Amino acid sequence: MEATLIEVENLKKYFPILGGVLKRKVAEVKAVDGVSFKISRGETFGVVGESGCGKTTLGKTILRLYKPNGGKIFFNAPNYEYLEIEKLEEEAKSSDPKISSTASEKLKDTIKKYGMKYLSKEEAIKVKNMKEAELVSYLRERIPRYRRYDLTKLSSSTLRKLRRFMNIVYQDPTTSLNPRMLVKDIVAEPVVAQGIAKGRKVYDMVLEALENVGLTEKHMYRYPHEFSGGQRQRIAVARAIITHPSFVVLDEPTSSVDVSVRAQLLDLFQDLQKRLNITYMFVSHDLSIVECMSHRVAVMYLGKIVELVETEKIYKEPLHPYAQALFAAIPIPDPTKRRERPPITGEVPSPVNPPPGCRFNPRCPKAMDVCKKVEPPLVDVGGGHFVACHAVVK
Amino acid sequence: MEEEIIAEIKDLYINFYTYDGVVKALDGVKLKIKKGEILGLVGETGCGKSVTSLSMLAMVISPGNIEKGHIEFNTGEKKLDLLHLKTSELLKVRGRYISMIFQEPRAALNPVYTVGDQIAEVFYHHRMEEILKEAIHNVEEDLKNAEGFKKWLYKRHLSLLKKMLQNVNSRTVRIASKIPYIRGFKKRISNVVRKEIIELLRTLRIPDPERVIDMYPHELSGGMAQRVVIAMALTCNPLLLLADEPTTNLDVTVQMQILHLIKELRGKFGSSILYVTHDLGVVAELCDRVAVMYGGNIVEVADVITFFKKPLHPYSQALLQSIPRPGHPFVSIPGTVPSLINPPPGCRFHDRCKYTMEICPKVKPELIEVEKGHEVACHLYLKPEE
Repeated sequence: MEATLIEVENLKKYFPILGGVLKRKVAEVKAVDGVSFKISRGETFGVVGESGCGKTTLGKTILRLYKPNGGKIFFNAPNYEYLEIEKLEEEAKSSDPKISSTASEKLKDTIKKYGMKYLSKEEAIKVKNMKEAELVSYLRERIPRYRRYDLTKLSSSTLRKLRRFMNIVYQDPTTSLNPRMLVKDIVAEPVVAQGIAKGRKVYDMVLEALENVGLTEKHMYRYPHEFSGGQRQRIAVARAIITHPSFVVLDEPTSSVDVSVRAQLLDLFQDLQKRLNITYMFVSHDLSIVECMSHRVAVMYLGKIVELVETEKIYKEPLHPYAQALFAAIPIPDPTKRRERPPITGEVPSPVNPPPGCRFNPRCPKAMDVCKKVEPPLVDVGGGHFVACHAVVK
Repeated sequence: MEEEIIAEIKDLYINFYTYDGVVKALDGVKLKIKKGEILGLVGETGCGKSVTSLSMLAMVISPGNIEKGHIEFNTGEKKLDLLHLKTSELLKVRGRYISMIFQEPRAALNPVYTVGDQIAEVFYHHRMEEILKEAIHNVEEDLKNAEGFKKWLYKRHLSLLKKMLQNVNSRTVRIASKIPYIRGFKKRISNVVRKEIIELLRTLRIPDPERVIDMYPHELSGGMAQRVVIAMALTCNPLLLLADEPTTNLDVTVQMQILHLIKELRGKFGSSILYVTHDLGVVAELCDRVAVMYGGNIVEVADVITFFKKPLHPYSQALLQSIPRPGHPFVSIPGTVPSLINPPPGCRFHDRCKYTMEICPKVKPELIEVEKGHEVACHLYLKPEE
């Protein structure tokens, strides 16, 4: 098991703008434009930025809910083939002779099908002379427990098998939960859709997931409208964790609930992370929440990461001028600490035609000539502190 | 000396008659707004903040109904009771003395009119006299150098504008506005308005106002649209500005710009501002005094420094604790905001309160002044003899 869970390399996602009579592509919105980073197992990776900077698109593209236009996403996940075989083995041991016989038949075929591709050339020749029983046990050992998948290259059917290891909690539970489905059906949806379990087992899984988020059995037979905002978001969380994913994207999960309920949800996220060992990508524009939740923070501006570092460092002394402006703009709930520093001028330019060079240069107080021409790369300035700025990196 | 009070809400009750039942949105709200101050009105969703601000413009519409109460408003010349004015009188108050900045700037702007047209409407409504005088002055200037036909035409313009000064909608003016060349007098008015609007947009730090004035709302960014809405509210230097969560949908950097702007404008125009928000950070940044609402009641009023240092009401305390701080565990208020159809009896916070006593579910606490300028509605602070 590797320490890195997700590795993103130069990821790009462009949305076409269609126009004209023939609806041809006339321009592109560069929502995510060349982003690279790594997420370690068990950490919370915060992504902050203003609206339209591509933070939600980044989250969705990593989960392959969007097809990226370039780059690579590596996901160190449990091997779904291994799990499938494990499940069949369990069924083969079942007391019902009907189930066990079909399962053991299927088991042999599956092991053969999956095992062959893990063999080297010499092994493949060696295998040819083996008897069937020997071959199966030989192949069984070859199938690795964990694999490093490149999500950009997988077919949709393989991707669906990997969906159980990653999930997302959306911003607004009123729109992300189907109002015509019962809570038990909403929460069971991932299990049913991915064919993980059937019948009574689904019920048990739903109950477990609901209990994990602090709801009970009596909530199962209700509709989403019968719940308060905080509880609704809990249902959405239950749906995300029912398959025991190792990676969950939280896309502004608290922006639609009230201040007094927000803390309950944040507590829940941290609790689940400890108990179920989930890695989060926490996308939010609320910087004070990200500060409390994340281990590392990436600041995005117009589809690019401009700074990436541990949370304490970035909140104490951000290096990139945009990060400085952003953190200086957080209203401090303490009237005695009034700042008189004037806020940064201007607004985020359109991602269709981002400014040349550094994208922040029209608003930057430290802009130099080089900023208008050369795009600064994201460079490590020491201790895993990445900054993309000409003024900081000489 | 007692500071001048510009508006006072006296014991206001507002109900909404819905199919689910009667929502008791405001339950005896009392609030004073002083001259030149920024008063922050804080509370969670559905606690009645927005209804309070809407009631100050008598804009509570069906199914809402004002059950009883008064809102006294001091225009400087006379005192008005806003809730019992005739519509024609109300129209003179709205936009002139009291104006409002809405939460969603795109919804507040009409998508089929340009920015200039929309702001001009306020000028035509409330500042016609000034505009006409300015236009007359301009015509008189032009008359000095005019000859022949132009001289004749300008004279006609002048007489029409003077007629308009007496009666904006007179018959002569209406007919004249259909005659070619002579109808040019209208252009003179709109030119003056346009100049004023550009000047106004410039004070709001809108870049390139000559271009923005002819844009439609969809061409503006969120922050820019919000500035236009603020410009519209400030056209007449209102005595009271109601800001209903004006920065909630904006990004932090833009929010900071708007907050700075509001602070600056307060100095320039001297308006009082009622700032409705749920963000305590914004309150600390901007306001002079704070009023906390819960379940249709004002539960605490204090100046901002006292409030953040020593909140008295248990709800205010819980609200302040629920602000996430790094390194501290998250604190939340147990339970949820009560439904206002069947609000809890007595103190509406009693079922979520840490300090609930026997009396709390029975008697509704009144707002009492504990220290100077620090009022709270809680049984904990009632003196025993009362």
